Amino acid sequence: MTYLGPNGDLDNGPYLAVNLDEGVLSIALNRPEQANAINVATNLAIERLLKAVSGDEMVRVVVVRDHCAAFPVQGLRLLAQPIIAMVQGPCPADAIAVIEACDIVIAADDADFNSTGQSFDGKEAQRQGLVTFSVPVSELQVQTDTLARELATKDALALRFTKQTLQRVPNLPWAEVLAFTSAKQAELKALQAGRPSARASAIESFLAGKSKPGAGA
Amino acid sequence: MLHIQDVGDGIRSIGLNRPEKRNAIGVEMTLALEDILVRTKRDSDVRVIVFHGIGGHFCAGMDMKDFFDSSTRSPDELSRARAATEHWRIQLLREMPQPIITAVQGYCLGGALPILAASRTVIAQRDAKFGLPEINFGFVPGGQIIKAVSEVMTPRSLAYAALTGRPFTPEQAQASGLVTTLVDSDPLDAAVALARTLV
Repeated sequence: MTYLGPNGDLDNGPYLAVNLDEGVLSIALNRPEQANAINVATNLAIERLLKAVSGDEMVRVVVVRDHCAAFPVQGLRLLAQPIIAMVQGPCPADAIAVIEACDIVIAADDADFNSTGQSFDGKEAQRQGLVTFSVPVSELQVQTDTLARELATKDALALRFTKQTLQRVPNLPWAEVLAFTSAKQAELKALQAGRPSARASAIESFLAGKSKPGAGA
Repeated sequence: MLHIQDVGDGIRSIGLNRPEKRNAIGVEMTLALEDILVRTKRDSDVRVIVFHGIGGHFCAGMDMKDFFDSSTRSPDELSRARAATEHWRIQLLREMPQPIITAVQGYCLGGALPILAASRTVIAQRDAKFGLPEINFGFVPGGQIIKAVSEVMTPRSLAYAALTGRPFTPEQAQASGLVTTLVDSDPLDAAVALARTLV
């Protein structure tokens, strides 16, 4: 259903289609044929939206669909939730800068990346580590939705903390990694205490021998 | 908990040996790992270290039951075990004067990955299964694990593995930088053969 922010008062304007479905927030541009004519009002609407989303516990994962160049890199970087970008068709340099701010990028095999005068497809973008993986364009939507729904079933706090760890730790000196980790583990434990968590039920199920999380589906 | 063998030519093989738990690292194993690495570091007769798993799996990661939930250990014992874990996985592994070669088959998850990150060469059998399953428990991979793995794995592959908890194949592990080569036969044989060329 249409997403209007945690207080129900967001104005997304005419060009932005934003839907929240079981924790998955999808953001797309309504009239892609006008994508390169994004106006100031739409830019402001996107910025307001991203600010509202970061603090909204109902949003567990964010999916950015196509026309990535329309999204502000800084605004995306500040989102607490994992972001999945879905890429098909042309992906010019300004869009590449945006997908670099996304945690997982799924591209169509035949997506057309263009950076510093070089053109390459989704498969090559995967080899270069620019995107997470590429799939045939016919599977793009389904695989993106499946992954987004899968992430939305995980413990939302643990997802946010995992994202933070991925963002921070690789750039920290080793000496600070331990302090960062103990502080985060303590914070997570405190926040998860007393609420029905995916962790508690997952561990219960694991202990009962019903699931083996390491083994995959 | 560990099966340690000096197989000649200065090659010491360290086998994780708790096959009934897919070699998950519990309190005893973590203490044993710290002990053998401290001793090996000072042992100039050892020229190469080979890590492997006994019983068809390399290692299913940290034994969370033993360390956290439903642990029957005393607080002192757990605190000692945690200190030992930080010691071997953050400090010792990265300071060993000997090159490390790791042979992987079966499960290779979570807390096992810092061993791979510290290895000069990782040889994986094509049946191996890699992953960071912590998120599937509602937990977060330790910063120490992420830090170590980020030094060898591409950021995209690491983020995908940590956020989704989905297992990944040896081929994907190789493309991501975590694994050096793939073999069809027992990776321990290949690891020891490679070790002999280094001494």
